Amino acid sequence: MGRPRTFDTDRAVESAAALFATHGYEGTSVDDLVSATGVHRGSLYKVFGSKRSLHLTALRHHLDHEIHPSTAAIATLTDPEQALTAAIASYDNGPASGLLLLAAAERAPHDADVAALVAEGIAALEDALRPSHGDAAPHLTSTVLGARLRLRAARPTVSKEH
Amino acid sequence: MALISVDRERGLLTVEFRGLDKLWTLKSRLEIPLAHVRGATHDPGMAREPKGIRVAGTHFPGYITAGRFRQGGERLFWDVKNPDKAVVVALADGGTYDRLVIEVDDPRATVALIERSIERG
Repeated sequence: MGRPRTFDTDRAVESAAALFATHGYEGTSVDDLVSATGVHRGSLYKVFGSKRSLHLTALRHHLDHEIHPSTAAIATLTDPEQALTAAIASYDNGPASGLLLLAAAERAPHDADVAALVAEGIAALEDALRPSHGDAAPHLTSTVLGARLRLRAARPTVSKEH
Repeated sequence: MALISVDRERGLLTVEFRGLDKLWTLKSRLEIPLAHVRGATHDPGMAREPKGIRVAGTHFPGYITAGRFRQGGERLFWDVKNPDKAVVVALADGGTYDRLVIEVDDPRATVALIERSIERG
């Protein structure tokens, strides 16, 4: 039933991911998602079911297209200094930079599905730092997450709304 | 205003209409199998969408939208006076409705209740 799908689901998910990464989950309304993705409200509900489901899809997309490729690259580095620098520069980056960090802080405590995806992203970083840092990998993972948080705080994104 | 609750034992989402809303919607309650519920979203902007054709119920634009509507080939059930408290419940294909748009007392709590009851394993 309903209208045929006339939009590119991947592109809609990418726009949604960038929006969630900028404004957070609560700060992103369905109105925002409708205007950023250019997809009709009815189609958004038809395809994704809910804002929460779209957020989970965006997070999954960010893991597959950003987190996993970048951690795979970090895992090839054996020099500890180089691996750490690369991780701080590239982890949870890309068009939806900070989506994982924000989801960890805002949604994971209330949502088991988000918590599982965040845990997957953090485990990927830990595994990627193991070749270069061995048993210190969990510790260095926290360092990378902390450094990413400080980078985000030091470089506020320019918002069109303010 | 309506009360949305989840009956886990019977696997149902129930929507009970209160007071005059029974009159406006021509329903006292809706029962939807939880397996057909795809998600719930607090969506105040939904009320600005075109309502389509009223099949049964009440429509005083700007004041109340209640009952069954058809819009763009989809079947929606509305019960909204105050858009700020509107929750959109998306349903699976094959049921009586594609979406419910229901005003509830506490949208945040209602969305959490519904989403928790359908959380992916």
